[in-house]
Amino acid sequence: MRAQAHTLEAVTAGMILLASVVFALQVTAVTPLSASTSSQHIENQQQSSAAGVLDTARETGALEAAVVHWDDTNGSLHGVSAGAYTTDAEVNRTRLGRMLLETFQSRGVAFNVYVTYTGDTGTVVRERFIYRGEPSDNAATATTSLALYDDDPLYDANGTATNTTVAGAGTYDNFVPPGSNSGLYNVVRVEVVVWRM
Amino acid sequence: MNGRGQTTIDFAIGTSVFLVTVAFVVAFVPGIFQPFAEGPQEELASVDRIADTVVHDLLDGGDDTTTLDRECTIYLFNDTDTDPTGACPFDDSDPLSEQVGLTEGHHVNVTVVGGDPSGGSANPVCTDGQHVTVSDTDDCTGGVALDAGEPLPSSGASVIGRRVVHVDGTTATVVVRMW
Repeated sequence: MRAQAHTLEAVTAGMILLASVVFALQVTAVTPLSASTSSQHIENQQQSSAAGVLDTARETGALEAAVVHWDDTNGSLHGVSAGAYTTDAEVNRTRLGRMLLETFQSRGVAFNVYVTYTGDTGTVVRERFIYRGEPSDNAATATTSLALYDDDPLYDANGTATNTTVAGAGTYDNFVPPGSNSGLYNVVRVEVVVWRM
Repeated sequence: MNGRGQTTIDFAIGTSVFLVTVAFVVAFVPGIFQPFAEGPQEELASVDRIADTVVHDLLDGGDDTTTLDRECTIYLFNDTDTDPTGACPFDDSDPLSEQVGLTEGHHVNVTVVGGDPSGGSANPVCTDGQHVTVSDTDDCTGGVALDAGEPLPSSGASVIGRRVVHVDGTTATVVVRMW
């Protein structure tokens, strides 16, 4: 039986050796080529791109036009009966959506746009503006803030200002409610979340 | 049974241990050394710095937004148009690698591309010396593409950094490649 005992001993030794190698691999320091940091680089680039789009949208007025792209009669965003924009055609309705599509679609990057504001009780409420799906774990976010004043007009479906103001509108408070009564309607935070599909 | 005291089971165990070891070596050993091999580690950091330098320092017109100064953009990318007043924060006669402060041995290429809403490949952004527009086709007819630095090698790995900018009424993406 001595030979069998030796064989079992060898198997045990082999398993201990394998376990040590696995352990050594697990504790090895993360290097710049490890998968996690490579995708960190991609996340950084996506975050910078999203921030650039937001900055550009603010510069061209597309950002504000998107936030007030509200159909006061139907009580929804223009062109949808309820909820957020989801399809390409719907996203194309706003200039902000068009810019995001042009920038990210061809690279296989998906995006969501949220409008958040602080409610009466100090809770942060997040409304979906463009919703293209659940972001992945490696999504990147860029945000910017925008002040809405009582006399800012709502925009019609073609993106031109109407005579209805955000404060005078009947249903706009379903999207963004007034935050104060001092002329400043509310401050919203526009949030763009991008991730690789 | 023979005189050596080795059973068939012993032989089977010995052979399978050997085979498992060989498979393990073939599958894992190259991966163990890969992180320590030469890779584009330096470029990973530099490409971010260069993208920010180009967008926020060289071309932003001094207001630190992502809106680029149209004239400086044309001067930087178009070799035949030179900065007449020296108002742009770079020396137009220097090559791009010097304008972004890159040492020898590193290669950089900066290209501006537009978007394609239908999801196709990005079209180049062109200038006629006065205006900056996104081309409808894959090349620039009657103008030059916004492209600076060394031409891309046909093979080999490179690192890419991207920034979205606004120039002359056009939304474009600045693509920085390093190798």
